[in-house]
Amino acid sequence: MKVNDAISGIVFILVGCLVFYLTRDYPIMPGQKYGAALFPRLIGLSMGAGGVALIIRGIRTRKGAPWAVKLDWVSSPRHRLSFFLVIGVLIFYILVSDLLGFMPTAFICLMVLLVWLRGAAYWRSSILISIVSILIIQQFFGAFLRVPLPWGIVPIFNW
Amino acid sequence: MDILIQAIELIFDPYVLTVITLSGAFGLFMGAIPGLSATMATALLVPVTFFMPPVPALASIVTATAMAIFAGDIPGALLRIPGTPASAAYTNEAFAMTRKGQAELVLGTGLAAAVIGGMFGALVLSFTAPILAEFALKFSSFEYFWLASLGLTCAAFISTDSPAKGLISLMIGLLIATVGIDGTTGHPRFTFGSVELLGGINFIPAMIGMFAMAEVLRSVTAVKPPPEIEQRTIGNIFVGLGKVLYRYKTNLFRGSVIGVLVGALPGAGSDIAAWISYATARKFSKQPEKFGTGHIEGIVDAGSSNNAGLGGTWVPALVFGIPGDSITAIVIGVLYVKGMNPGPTVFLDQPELIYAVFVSFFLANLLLLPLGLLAIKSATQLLRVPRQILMPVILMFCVVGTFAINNTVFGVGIMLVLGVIAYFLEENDFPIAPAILGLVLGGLLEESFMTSMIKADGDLMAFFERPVAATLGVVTILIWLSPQLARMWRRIRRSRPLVPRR
Repeated sequence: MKVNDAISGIVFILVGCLVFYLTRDYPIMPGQKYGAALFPRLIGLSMGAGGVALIIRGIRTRKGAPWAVKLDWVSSPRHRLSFFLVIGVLIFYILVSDLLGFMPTAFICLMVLLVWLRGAAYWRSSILISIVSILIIQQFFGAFLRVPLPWGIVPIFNW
Repeated sequence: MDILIQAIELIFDPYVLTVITLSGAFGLFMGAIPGLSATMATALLVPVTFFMPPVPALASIVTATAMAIFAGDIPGALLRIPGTPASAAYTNEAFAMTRKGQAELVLGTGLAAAVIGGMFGALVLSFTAPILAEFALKFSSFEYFWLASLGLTCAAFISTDSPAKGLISLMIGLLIATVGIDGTTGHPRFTFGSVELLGGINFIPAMIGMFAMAEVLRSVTAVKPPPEIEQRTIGNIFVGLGKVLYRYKTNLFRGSVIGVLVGALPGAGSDIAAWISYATARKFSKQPEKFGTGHIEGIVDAGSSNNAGLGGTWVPALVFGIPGDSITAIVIGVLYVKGMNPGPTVFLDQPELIYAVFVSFFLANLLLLPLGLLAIKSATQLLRVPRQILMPVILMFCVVGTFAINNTVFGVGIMLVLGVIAYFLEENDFPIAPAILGLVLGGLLEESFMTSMIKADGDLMAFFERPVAATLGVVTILIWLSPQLARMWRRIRRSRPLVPRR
């Protein structure tokens, strides 16, 4: 979604207000008039000021243009799915990687993305690429850099 | 002198040299592929450098970025797409030369100009940084507050045509930096009861999300197919190169000087240096009418300028801890992770580390010659690497990289959220660099602000009592007001009655 600057402006004014609301009961420093809320509130204030500037600019430059236009890919079902697939794959990884382990989870994620982006006809090479990449990443991060990537259902092995 | 020898010993160690060579190859690859920029190369390197000692970590970033900035020229000349934003200024010119059958000359000139500009930048960095650091030792929290403000202000105002958008992007970064336990009162802020947010939002997953994951999203949603390569085989790039370099030697020097100066300016990096140099070359050229038709002159200027700018951006980063662009913002984050507090004290406490950075700059630019040649020779293969394979693999790399920092999937979540936010911000023409600068400098800015407030007992005038602080403060405030001042000036000029010329 590409929106008119005025709409972005309203959004950021709201964010600025939200900062004030969330910092309402932050403690002050002993002996001073301010505390933990001061700096975030200055940020919120500046954000609001930027928002006002954007609203003025948005209204001035609109000249009958729509308030919001769809990005190119939104009307293409294929690209729309690609977008959500990337996000979906990451959410899937966050949810199950501890349980399944790094290698199986990452393999599923990578294979799904590759098969979708390259087309089902190349499924054999997509699976091969996924296996090789995951093994390289596991070896590089897991063995070489000693990152404790979760093993999950895979028996722990050493090369 | 002893320090220099120590520094050379630190760099000429088999492990460090291997890291430098591999980073160089990585940088060339990232720079040469459109859509993968020098900043993204740095972002992806950080989780790996996380596990290295400071010297190889910094040397690897220096090398990768120097290579990536040059490699951006390759798709610019062959596909008319800049590989990195730093090549955008002269992409049309370079492509026009390729159309005329001069791809070898333009790539050769780009490489030679990059090496010369890079060397110049390294030279300036090595000589000015230690001198400036001595001066900076006298700074107090007031000066640091203004310096950080000035750096962030320039970042927000220079990097975009809409200062309001730059400002908002910066504020987003600063706001993210406030999440977690507050340093002065110990109160948790914006944690919403999450234990993991108490420690704050780590800048590494944030940066990987904003620079790498957002780019993956952009790539998988790109509707237009990538263009065809204009020329398939590349011949000898050294034919006629000597003549061009000799003829435009002043351009080489001018481009390098502009590059270093613009780079050292907080908030402006190699890409802006290239634009300014290209425009300057055209202005002072004897044949300005040839610009845009495939003329080498501007490429000499801008090609040396963007690599010289790289050295320039490290000056404020190392001396004050104030980054010049998004790459050095990432570097500052890395320095903090390595326990080296960027700023003048590093020059006293660990001078050998700083000199090792200088040495690695020279080495990287020397290495650029053979590796760059190799990249040009294999350009056709490089540019044919299918994006549909590359992007998912990069995404997996991002996942592991963010996981590796704290060994929890929480980092992956941060990357996801900030990546999506950054994607939509950028689609709406908000610049991302100010947000990263804000995120990295937010802590320093708030700390120096609060310390100064306590020292001054809430008296804002204290921010202007020391001479250096006062100067920095006035300059910063003038920049804040500059859009308003410019508008007022225009109004005054318009309202003034026209005086007839005699």
